[in-house]
Amino acid sequence: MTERQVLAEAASTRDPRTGLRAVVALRKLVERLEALHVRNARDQGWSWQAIADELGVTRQAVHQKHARKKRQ
Amino acid sequence: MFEKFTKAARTAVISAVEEAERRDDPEVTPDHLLRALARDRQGLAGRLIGKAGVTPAELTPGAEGEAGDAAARAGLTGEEIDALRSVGIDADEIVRRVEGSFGEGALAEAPPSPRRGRRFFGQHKPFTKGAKRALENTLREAKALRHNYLGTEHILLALLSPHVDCAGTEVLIRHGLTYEEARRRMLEELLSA
Repeated sequence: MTERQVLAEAASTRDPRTGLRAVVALRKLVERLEALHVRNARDQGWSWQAIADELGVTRQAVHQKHARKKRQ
Repeated sequence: MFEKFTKAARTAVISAVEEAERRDDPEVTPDHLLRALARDRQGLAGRLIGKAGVTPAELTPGAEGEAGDAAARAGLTGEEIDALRSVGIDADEIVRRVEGSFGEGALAEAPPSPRRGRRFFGQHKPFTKGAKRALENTLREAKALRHNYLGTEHILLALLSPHVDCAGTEVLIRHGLTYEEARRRMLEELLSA
């Protein structure tokens, strides 16, 4: 089988392991993207409220999650 | 001398240092400086590089490297990268695009946040001889043009000059951005501004 065939098969597989692994990896990527963009927004002077509005969460939630990780 | 650097030029130098720190490179090289210039699309140097059709990713070693290299920098394992590919997501491409805007290693875990008001000569990775020469020649380039400030464009000229060894400039030259051409386009931009 060529690599492409392997991939095509993987995409259509009903193997739970592959699907679940993709979900975990995606979550990891999303978390890092979120951290990066929140930091960038803060560096550009965005308020926690404005960031929360964009993310569709409460100000408290976004603050709690990201504020501590800011610069020491 | 450093007080004559424009804000954009200072930011570029700091960004170069930060990339070296993020990648855990032992020293800050002329190529770190060049990539920092390329990342800042507002600065004159970044605009010239962008107009020449060169992306920061092209100036990054290993940018066209092994599949999964970029994604690995975001902390994804080989299995995770494969799993994502199997549902149609190219993690490498995502990470490369992010790094194109924010610098290599931008999605590495807890990268150091940019330090505001950081001192120019604070504790940081040492500059290589070449990088120091590039910064010194920045002054020379500005003087030759009778400019009384040091901007990103002067750093770019210093990096392109034959006095400094900067691997990334070969990519620029391939795209037609030689020292002479950069100087000409820069003056054109400054005159039309």
